[in-house]
Amino acid sequence: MKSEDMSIEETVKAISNNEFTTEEVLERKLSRIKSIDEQVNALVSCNPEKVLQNAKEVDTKINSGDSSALPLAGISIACKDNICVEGYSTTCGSKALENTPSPYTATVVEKTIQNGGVVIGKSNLDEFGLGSTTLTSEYGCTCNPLALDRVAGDGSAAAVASGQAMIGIATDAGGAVRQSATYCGVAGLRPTAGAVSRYGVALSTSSVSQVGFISKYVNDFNILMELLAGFDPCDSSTVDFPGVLPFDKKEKLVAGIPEKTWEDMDKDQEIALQSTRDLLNTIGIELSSVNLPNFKAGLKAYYILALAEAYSNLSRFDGIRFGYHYDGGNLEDWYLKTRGKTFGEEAKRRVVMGANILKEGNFYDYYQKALQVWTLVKNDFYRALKNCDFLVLPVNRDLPTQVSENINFLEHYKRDEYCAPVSLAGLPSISMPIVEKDNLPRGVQLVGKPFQEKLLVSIATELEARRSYSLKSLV
Amino acid sequence: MKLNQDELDMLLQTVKIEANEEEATKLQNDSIKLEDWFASIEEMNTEEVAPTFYNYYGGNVQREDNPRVASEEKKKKLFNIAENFKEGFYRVPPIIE
Amino acid sequence: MNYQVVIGMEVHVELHTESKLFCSCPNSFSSQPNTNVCEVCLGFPGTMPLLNSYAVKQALKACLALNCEVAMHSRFDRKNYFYPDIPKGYQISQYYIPLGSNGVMEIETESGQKRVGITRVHMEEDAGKLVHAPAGDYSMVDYNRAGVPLIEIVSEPDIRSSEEARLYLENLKSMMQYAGVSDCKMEEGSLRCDSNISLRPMGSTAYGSKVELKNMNSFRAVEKALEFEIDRQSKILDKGEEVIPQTRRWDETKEETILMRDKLEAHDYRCFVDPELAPVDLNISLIEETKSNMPEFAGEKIKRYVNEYGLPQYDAGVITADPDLANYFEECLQKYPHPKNLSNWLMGDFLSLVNAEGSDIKDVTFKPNYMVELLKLIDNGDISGKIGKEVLEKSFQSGKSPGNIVEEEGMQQISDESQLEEIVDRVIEDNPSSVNDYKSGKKKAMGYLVGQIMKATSGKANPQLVNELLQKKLDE
Repeated sequence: MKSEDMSIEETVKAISNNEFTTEEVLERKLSRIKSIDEQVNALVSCNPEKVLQNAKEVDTKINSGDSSALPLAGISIACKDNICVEGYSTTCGSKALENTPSPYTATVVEKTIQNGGVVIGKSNLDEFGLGSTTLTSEYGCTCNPLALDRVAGDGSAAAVASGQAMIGIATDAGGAVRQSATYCGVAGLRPTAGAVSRYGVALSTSSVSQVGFISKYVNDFNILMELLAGFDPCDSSTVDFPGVLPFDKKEKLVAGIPEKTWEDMDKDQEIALQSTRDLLNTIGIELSSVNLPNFKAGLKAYYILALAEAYSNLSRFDGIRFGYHYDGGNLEDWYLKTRGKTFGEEAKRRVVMGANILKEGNFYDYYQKALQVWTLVKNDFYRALKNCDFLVLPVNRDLPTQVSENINFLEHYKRDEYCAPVSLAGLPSISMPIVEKDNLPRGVQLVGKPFQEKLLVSIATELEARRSYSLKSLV
Repeated sequence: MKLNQDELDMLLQTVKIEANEEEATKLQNDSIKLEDWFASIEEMNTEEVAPTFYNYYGGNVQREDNPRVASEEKKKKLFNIAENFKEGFYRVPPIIE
Repeated sequence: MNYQVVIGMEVHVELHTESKLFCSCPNSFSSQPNTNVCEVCLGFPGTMPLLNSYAVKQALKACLALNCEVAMHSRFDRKNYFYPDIPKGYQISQYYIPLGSNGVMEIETESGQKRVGITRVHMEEDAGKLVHAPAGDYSMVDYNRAGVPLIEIVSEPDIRSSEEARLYLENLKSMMQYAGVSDCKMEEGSLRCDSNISLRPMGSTAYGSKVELKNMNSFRAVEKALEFEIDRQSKILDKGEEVIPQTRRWDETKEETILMRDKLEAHDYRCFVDPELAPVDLNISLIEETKSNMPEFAGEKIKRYVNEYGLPQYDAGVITADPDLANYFEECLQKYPHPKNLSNWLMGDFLSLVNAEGSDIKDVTFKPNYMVELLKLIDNGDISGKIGKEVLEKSFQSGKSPGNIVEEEGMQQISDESQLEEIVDRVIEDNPSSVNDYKSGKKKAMGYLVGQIMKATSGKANPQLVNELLQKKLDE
């Protein structure tokens, strides 16, 4: 089996069996990047020297001692460029932070490195993470390896799908990890709220963003959660990850299928849902109908919060302590032009509208309301999950946007329709392709109870084995 | 929620972002679109519903009062990022207080 | 026309903690800029605030000292605005649910006790400091202070005079010092004060136009600024005009308030709950524990000193003005039973020496046991009071105990009658003119003779005995 097609477990085993070294694996990844990333544009930055040096260090550690102490040996990681890695700039996809070397490394990446993982590059994202397409990135749009004229959604998903990295670590607020994974034909995990540390991750939507993972194989998520989840004293929102929650395969599981509240979903997305339902039946999982009455409102409530938080979270980008600054001799100009010249259209829109929403006259009608709708949406999910073990939901509205298509911002927002409410609920979700149509993937997301990532992986693994999906990267 | 020219100008001042005429017009139009889109939320009856502020936090999450000085190395990394860091201070245009 | 003065006070107090409110940088004065900083308090992307548990306890103490209702469940909110000294572009504060509310403080005024309502006490982080280049071509930001824990104490507009305002501040400072919450040194910035003042006709219940006063750097300045405002506003109202609501700053050199901006600070901070911070949940046992550990405040101490120790009100006031001095006093009293004498010595020579040294009382080497030793030496007649002052000064300088100093320098009082008689006789012999002066009615001449005797004994002669013996001999 080629190293490109191995899972984490297989790679680590092969390295400990001396089938190849970490350096060799990473070298191949680097040459892959060299040959195709110009077309895909998954990575904002890649430092081959550094990568090889880190790979050598891993090999040294393996040779000098116990290789089982490095359960991520040989694993190449593409980190979304809003996740700080020391020695790299963390651009957040913006002109504002172009040459801003990070003075520290995010906890989740620290843990990855300690376990033998190697950061292969920083991957592309919408400016400040505001979106699920990468169309607003200062560093160009990332193309979908399965259809280069369409967006990938997220640089790390494209990197994994095109074999430039094995694993992606990214962020998911309105669904960037989940949507992009399915767009690119790979799997994405958005963990339970509080499971994975966000320290060192520049968030625009602090309330519901989570660090998520992307891989070709869902089983990789178990290993990643085991190693990377858990309480971090630097992030007070984290909790101890309970790890293994018992799941007895013999137990009869029930999948909750929400009543159809999405009339305008693409018919081909429907096929993915239907196919999933059929597969679950063959596995012996019962289907049950559930009701999520406030589901549609969830998207709008999410955006009200996202806009408000973007306004506040982006205020620190004033050029005084880091990032680009414009000095015209007076303070007002410094602020107005430093931000005015570097923030893109979407960032400006979100910040202005966010400030608008939080204005005294609008606060209770919009922001306070959104917080209340949040409660309603959460309660819907928790109530539904009382009578079933997990839910099956669509993940994408339809096909990934075409790169050249000029779509109105609101249409982009609407594409988060199936993912945003799950974010509000804080529940774990795995998205994966199930079928293919017209050479593009169609998938679903499996949404579980808090800390039931392992259950979701088990079900996803079964689906992975039985699904008809088989597309490969074009490049 | 929808903005007229004056309201938009005030907001741009509040958020400290410069926008040219084209951008400003677009933003005004965007505000109208958003007002329409958010209308259904505004109309929802959420009486007696408690707001949610976050999805985590089992309770008090606090740290002990132990001071720790950042290493000189770390501080150097922090300061070197700013072009306007000179002689121990971050420099900005003159401020009259 | 007589107007009723309506004053409210807004005080910011820096909490005494080891580290900042949301990061572990030291909360201590540093003369070098940007030394107590890290990526968190500099607002670097990806950093998150981590609440200091001791700061919460300190804030709780302040709330209880001010008799506030304590919110069992409070949160932190973001107060959004741009200024170079605010690294995140927002200040983390408590806007919606303050830690304490509906409190009251009692102050002693000349006309009796007065209750001042406390609207709220809440926690928030401090901003950095701005320094301006002398040539005026740029300004500089120092973030040492950014993130230092503060409490903001807002009073009800119950204060009716500039003097009451000063008493309010003095009392607040005393309470915070006694509680160990803050050292409240306005000159160092650990206590900052703004004030709101309006005037209205006597008997009116409607509020007049509010003027906000800033930039007052001492309690005296607060008093003077308010006095100036009362005068300024009265003159306007007397003319039948309206006072314009504005923000004014106190100019110490010109001794007047100067317009800063029209309209009060009506900035919309767009406050919302900070999603990155856990709520602050207090439990009853913590509150009960804090209450039971609450120290005795100055007011109670003064009453106790007056009633139990018979100290004059004035003495009690001086001793309790500094919590460390009060502690010193009480420690001495454990081994020394004469409070008035003790307080005389403390208020006089002891404090002079402490002030001359520029130290804090708790750092002084002349500890309570030394003071007790000294006073006992004087009471037992081993040394005279005058010598005692010398011994005190020498002990301050050398750090040696009073007993050792007296031994080493042979400063014991001479009380041997025969020894003294000899000297008295000699002085009488050597100063016939003074003796004649005394005998011819100039009683003051005796003083000169006493002085000569003291000189001859290097001040060690027992003054009482000297007077007795001299008197006897002169009257012979």
